[in-house]
Amino acid sequence: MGVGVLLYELGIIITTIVIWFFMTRKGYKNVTRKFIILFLGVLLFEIISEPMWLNTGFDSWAYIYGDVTWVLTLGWVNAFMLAILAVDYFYRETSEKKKFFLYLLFISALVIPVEAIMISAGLRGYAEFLLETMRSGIVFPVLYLPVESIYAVPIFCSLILSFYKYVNYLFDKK
Amino acid sequence: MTLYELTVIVIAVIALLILRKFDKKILRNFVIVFIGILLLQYFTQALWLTVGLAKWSYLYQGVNWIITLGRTTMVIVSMAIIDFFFPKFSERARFRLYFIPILITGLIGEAISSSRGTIQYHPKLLESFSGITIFGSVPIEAIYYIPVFMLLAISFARYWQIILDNNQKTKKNDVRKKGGSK
Repeated sequence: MGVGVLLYELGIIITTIVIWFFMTRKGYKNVTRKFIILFLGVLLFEIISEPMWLNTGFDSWAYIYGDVTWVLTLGWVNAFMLAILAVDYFYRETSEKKKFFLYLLFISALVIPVEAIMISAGLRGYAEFLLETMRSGIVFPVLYLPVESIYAVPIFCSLILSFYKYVNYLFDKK
Repeated sequence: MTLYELTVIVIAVIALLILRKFDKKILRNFVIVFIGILLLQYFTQALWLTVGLAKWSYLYQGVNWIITLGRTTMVIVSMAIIDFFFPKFSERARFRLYFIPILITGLIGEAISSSRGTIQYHPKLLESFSGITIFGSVPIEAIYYIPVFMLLAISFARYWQIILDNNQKTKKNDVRKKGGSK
C-alpha cells in the first residue's frame, strides 16, 4: 500500500499543478488567490469536522492536524475547481443561481466515486459515533456507501462553495 | 412549551420586528441565514448533543430548529449592528467586524445553553479539546470554533443575498426594457 498511497498523493499534487497551469495559460484572473481561498474553505471545514473522519494510511508528511491531511484537502480543491471550470464553460449563459446547483451536481459526481474508492482502500473511514447517526441502513449500490454520506456531500459542498464565491467577491469588489 | 424554547422564539420575533424598520428584506435574509446554519448543524450533528428540548423542536435526530433559530437571531442581529454603526465601511471591513458581536453573543448563548445542559459536546469532540473552560462549562476552543462555524454560515448567507438581489435587479431591468420597447 505504501507505493500506491505515495502515487495517489503525488497524483493529487500533480493534478493541482496541472489545473493551476491550465487556468493561468487560459487567462483566468487571480488563479493562485482562487486556489488559496478554496483550500482555506475546505481546510476550515475539515478542522471543525475532524473528529468525524478517519484519514489513515497517508504518509506522515501529509498530515497537518489530527486526521487532517493537506493532500486530501488539495484533492477536494481539485474536485471543486474542475467542477467550477466545467460548469462555467458548458453553462456560461446560465444564471449564477442555477449554476450553483450545477456546481454541486458536478462536484458530487466527482467526489462520491473517489470517496467510495478511498473507503474500500482503507484510506478513509467514518468515526464510530458518526456511523451511529447513519441510521437508515441504506447502502448505495455499486459504491457501497451509506446513503447519508452521499447526501451529505452536496450539503457541505454548498457551504464551501459559498465561502469560495463570497470571499472572491470581496476581493474583486475592492 | 418550556421557557427556553419560548424565550428563543420571542427574542427572534422581537429582533425581526425591530430590524424590519431598517431592512425591508430582513425576513428573506433571516431565512437564508437560518438555512445556512441548519446545513452546518445537520452536517456536524454527530459532534453535538441537543438535550431536553421539546419533542416538536427536533427536525432530524439531534438537529433542533430552536437552536438554529437562536443562532440565526444572533447572526442577523450582529450583522445589523455592524451595518448600522459602520454603513460607510467597505463590505470587506464590515465582514471582519461581524465576528466581534458574533463571538460575544455566541459565547453568551453557548454559556447559557451548555450550563443548563441543552447543548452538550460529544466525548470524542471533548477529547480533541484542551479541557480548559470559560464562562462555566464552555470549552475555550469555542473562541475559534464559533467564528469558523459562523464564517461558513455568513459566507453562505451573503452569497445568496447577493445572488437574489442581482436576480431581482435583472428582472427589474428586463421589465423596464420590455416596457420601453412597447
